[in-house]
Amino acid sequence: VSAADEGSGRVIARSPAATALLPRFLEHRRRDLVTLRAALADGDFETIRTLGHNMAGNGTSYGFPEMSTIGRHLEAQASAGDSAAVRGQLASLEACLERVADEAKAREG
Amino acid sequence: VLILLPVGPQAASPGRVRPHVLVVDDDESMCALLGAELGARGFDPSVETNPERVVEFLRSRHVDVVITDLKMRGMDGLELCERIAAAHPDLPVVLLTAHADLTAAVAALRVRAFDFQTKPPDIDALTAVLERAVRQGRLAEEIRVLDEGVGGGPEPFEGILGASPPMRELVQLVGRVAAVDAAVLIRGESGTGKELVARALHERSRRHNGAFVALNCAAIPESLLESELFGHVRGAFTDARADRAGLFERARGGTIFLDEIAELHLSLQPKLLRALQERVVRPIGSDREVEVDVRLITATNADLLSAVEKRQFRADLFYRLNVIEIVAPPLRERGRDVLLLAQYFLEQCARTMGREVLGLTASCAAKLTAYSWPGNVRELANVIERAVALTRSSRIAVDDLPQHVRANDAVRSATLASGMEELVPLEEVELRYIRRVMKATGGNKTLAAQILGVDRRTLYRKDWAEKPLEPSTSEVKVS
Repeated sequence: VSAADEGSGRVIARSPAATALLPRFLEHRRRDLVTLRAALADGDFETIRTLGHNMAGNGTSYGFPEMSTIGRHLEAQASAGDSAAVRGQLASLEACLERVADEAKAREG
Repeated sequence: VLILLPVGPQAASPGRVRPHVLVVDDDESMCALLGAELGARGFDPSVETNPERVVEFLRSRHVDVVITDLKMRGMDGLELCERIAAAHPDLPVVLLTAHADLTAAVAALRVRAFDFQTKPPDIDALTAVLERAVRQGRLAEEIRVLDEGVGGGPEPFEGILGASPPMRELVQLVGRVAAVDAAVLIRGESGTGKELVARALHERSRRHNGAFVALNCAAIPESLLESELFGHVRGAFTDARADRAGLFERARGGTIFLDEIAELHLSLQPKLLRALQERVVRPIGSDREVEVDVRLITATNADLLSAVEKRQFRADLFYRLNVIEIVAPPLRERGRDVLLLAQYFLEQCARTMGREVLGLTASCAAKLTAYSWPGNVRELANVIERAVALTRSSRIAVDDLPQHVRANDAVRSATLASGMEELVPLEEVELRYIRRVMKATGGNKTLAAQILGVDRRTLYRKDWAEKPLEPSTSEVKVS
């Protein structure tokens, strides 16, 4: 996670609205992970690029800059058609989602 | 900037209308988050994840500002921005971009976006941008409305409001005819304001200090109408327990207005003719005649001449009533008077209902001018009253109109020069708007201040009409 990403967490990430929407946000990202794996298996890089782009935008907005970084990488790697790199990012995303879920519980608590 | 209109989240206190913001992003999570955040900051948010549905949405709902992501599936933000600008030139669009670089800035300018913000957005900065956008959008629309000749219209002539050629002719005719103490027959469809014309004739006549008595001939049974018009003496009929003066006596020195004169029964027509010719009436049951001094104005929405030909109406009475004929034009022939009247009724209703409704959206105005208004001004007044009561916005939108008005496809869309083709600073928009209002009101600062919603003294600080527009906004600030 870059310093720039950390710095851009200023926005709405810790707002009551963002906290209230977190469970739905995580559910959607888990669904994205399933979709991304299927897309990788099909060689559907356009879907990977689009979902990566969206993740880049919404991760930091919800207070998870690490997810935004993964999204940006996915977007770039999908554009390059780099299956191996995408596979690596998906593993990172899975681990990230687990950490984020823990953090979300902490926030809610 | 001295003059700030009461819009934006600061106006979202109870009783105020919240600016309607449409959030467009194909990422549902971003839509939900932005919608929730903006809702908490006093906006009325709607969200749309499919950019292709936005134009359709804007056709049916009034929106104050659109915020859209740049990269989306199906249609990108730039294309959406262009489509919105084509259909709704006054509607500001704010672009959200992943990277605030020169390319994004140029692209945003090219599609005439109001502003662009980076993702993730700084919600405070975004709120400020949206507030400015709402304010500018409303100002731009006000300018457009004034261009259409809605605002700053003519002063009502004895309650008659209209700037169209037929109404100007009518007002001129009323002014000339009022001074002549001759009988007047007003023809016009139902709801065209025939009684208003009759009242104007009375108010402008030498009889204006006398009574104005109106009676609808169709509303009273024939048996009672004679008594109502000419009076009766005690015992003239079963219920005549005391002498009672008729309208002709009671309106002495004033004006009698008989509406729906075609409904006057044949048996009463000779008596009315005699009252006009001899200027005397005989109350029912009386053996004495009473002198009368009234001016008679009659009105009908029927073809009276045809009734004469069919012997349903006496020819001699017709010619006696029809010394001067005035035609009240139907609303469909009054062009942009529809908008003038709509604005007038809107302001009246908003005041009465205590609602913060300021005007019409451009698409709503187009619907109103396209509709044929079979019920004329009365129908328009009802439609506007309903819309003011129902609208959730500061401007009546197409959605607020009844289905039969809304469904009218023959939209004569207003093709007017907006004078706001380029993106200009808010100060300049305000300056242009103030000058437009001043021009539209003929330099009447009191009226202009009312329209602008500012203190009149604010306008006295500078002579807006003489101030040239400068290319640099720093030159046009006033303080």
